[in-house]
Amino acid sequence: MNLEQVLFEKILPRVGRAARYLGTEWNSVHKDWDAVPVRMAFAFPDLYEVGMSHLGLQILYSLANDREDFLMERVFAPAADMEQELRGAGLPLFSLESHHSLKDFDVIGFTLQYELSFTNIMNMLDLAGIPLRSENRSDNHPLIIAGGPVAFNPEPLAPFIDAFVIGEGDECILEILEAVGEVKGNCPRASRSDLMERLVEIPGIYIPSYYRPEYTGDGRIKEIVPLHPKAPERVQRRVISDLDAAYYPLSPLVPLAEAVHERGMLEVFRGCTRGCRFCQAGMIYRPVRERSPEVLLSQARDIIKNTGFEEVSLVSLSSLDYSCLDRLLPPLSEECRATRTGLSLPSLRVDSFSVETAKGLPGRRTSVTFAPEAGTQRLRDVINKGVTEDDLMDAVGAALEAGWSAIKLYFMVGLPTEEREDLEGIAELVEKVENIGKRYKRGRKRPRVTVSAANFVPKAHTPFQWEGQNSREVLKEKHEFLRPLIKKSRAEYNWHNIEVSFLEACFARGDRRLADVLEGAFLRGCRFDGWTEYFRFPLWMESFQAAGLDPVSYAEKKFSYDEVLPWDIIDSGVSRDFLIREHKQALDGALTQDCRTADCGNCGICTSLGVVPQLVKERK
Amino acid sequence: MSRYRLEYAINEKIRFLSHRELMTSLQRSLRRASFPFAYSHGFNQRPKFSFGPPLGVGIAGLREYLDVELVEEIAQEEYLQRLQQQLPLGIEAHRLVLVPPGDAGLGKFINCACYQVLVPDSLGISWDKLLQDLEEGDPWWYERPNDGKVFNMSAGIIKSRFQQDEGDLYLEFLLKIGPGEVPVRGLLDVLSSKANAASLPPFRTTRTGLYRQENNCFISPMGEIEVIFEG
Ligand code: SF4
Repeated sequence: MNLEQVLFEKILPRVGRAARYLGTEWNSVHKDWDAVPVRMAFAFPDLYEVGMSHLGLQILYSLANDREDFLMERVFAPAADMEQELRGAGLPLFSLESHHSLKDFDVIGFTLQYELSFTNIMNMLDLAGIPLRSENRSDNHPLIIAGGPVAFNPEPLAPFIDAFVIGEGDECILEILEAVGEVKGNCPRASRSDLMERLVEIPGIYIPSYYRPEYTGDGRIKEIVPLHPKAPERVQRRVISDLDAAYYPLSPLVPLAEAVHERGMLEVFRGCTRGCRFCQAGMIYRPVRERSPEVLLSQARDIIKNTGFEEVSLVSLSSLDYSCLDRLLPPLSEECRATRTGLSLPSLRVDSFSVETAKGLPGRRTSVTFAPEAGTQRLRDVINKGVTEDDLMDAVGAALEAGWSAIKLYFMVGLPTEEREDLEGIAELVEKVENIGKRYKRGRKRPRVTVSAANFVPKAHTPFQWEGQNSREVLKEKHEFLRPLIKKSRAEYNWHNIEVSFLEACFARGDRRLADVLEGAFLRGCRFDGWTEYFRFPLWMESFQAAGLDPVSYAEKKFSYDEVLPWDIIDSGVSRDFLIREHKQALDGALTQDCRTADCGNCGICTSLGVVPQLVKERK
Repeated sequence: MSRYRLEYAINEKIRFLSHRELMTSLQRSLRRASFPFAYSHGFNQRPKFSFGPPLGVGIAGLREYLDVELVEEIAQEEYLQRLQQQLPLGIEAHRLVLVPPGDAGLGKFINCACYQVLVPDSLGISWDKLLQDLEEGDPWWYERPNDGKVFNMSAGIIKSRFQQDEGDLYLEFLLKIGPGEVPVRGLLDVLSSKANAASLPPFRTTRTGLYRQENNCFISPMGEIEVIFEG
């Protein structure tokens, strides 16, 4: 029996949600394996249902498969029962389309969306029979690459990944696959060393084995020493300059097993320059590049026709900031109504304009989400969240007036400079929201208000990259202080697992030494650490101890401005000066304007990457 | 408003979809094929579908059914062909017919289902005897793992028999649907444990048809009288 037969006869009948592993989704691409010279597996280190909702996968999958000489198949992290079956039967992890062992591919590309998926990467490599560390791989093994937002601090994964792709993968994936094809020629495999030599010539490629970090006696980074003549001093992020001209998948995959989000995705724009100071996405995807309404409308038509999805969603960072809503939404809504397709926005900006806009969209309305992030104006100014209490109350009032019956509010706890008053401020805001809610009772039922509090995690390449995270004890105290206050106003209070946020903080700004911890945690059995039900904190603490590292010193570390940062090798395009300026502005509670509506704030992107913000309609 | 009945097959490649996943896949296929759905009224408007009894995960189905309401009459052949081009690998659309007015609907109509269970010949078991024991001996009990509900398997079986065909051995069951129905998964589990085959892969199972039994007559949801369990 070959792998596919064993899978269908013996394994799939015994695992949960077997539809995850079939690989025959509508719009999936099945090529003749032997007829295609370069084969890549797109590896998503989380469950099928998460990965299938990811736009990046859809883009790269179609882009690569549109080329006759390339083949791209998918693999997701196997659920625990599947892992057990594979290990029990001594079978390798396989791709979904052709059910080939991952080891048979030329390239395996992991997408890094979240720090706590790292142990899944280890697990997937291990299940594929591929040595975890690059240095132990030979020419018989596939090239292991990784990209995505978390690659902006690649260091904790450095020993495991042959090459990182920094920035927008759709800008360079074809160059990478072409390079693989060139080096491979007519041989069954490309020589690893030749391939690396070739890849390093591609802008945006970071080859960690070409560098060695050196540390000072007290554990800080002294310098990052290049070991190879071709290794660039810094690796600059790749960026697409014109979204209208960029490739977009018009026949995206339609999940077979139910996914987290099942909808057609319309990418209205990339980047966001609102400038929230905690937000990594707001820094590493600059500048704003909008698609024109005509292109979006035609893409929407094709996607609806080619998928049958019941909903399309505008999935940019803050879609209602699109400069040309008045030219996009009316015809798009009409198209959606005519095809009985819902039109949704993943989250709303905190103002009544957003609500008024969302109200008119076709489709079902359940709950509406607002993210004021902090409880007082002072702290909202610190994080540069240009939202006032009035904005929030107007938005809530408008939402309830429009018929929404559940309001979700997102806050962050542990932000730099946070004081007791800021936490009390959250409770006060919630109470005011509840009071507005009372006016919109349906019978005896009040609108439901849910408060979600995330823990602040300082992220690389943001103005808060130099700040430490609150200790776990402090975070716990803060939540315990806040919970009864919120309960009083009858809203529901949820907060993120503190230990999960703590680990996220360790890795978000961690260095290469953390690789030992990761490997240790994987070997001790950690998987799916972002899923509370699988998260096993004690195993992580053991792994830190075994590696002789103190996690607290990573999570709570305050860097000084002149210190070498582990991710300094990566050039996001945003200048260090800008980040320092923003950090100081934050401490002064001073606001920085959005360059879409105000003057250029000199973040450095446009000059260093040679791009400009692209707005359909000028708004200054 | 016109109601159409689709007869389709779920083959080996896609038998692992849950009922819900299958419903979604079919609905999207019909959408891609531009079927003019009629929608329910009210807050949450949905196309009006009704499916035949759910097929267990891992079980293939040769003749499955769904009813869909459309706002107008359609050219059946043309729409059937369109649909065939829009189905994921493993789902095959066979026939599409207009349902006559006054039809009770699949849920009320269907009261039994025929299953075929392929069994390995290596077990050295007298399958005839096993089936006789199942139908006439002490009840075979099954406790459903998710809710602990206990079923008497024998009571859900209308008929059973052992067949041999070109080296393949299989069991055939006619099972009740609706009142007195027992879970097929349970029947397979109990069978495999009685046959000392619990460590083997689950027996390959196919639902071969859905019927309304009236006296000794079997009528398919397409309105045809069929002869089953003979010959
Ligand atoms: S350089 Fe200026 S215009 Fe360009 S993204 Fe930065 S702030 Fe905006």
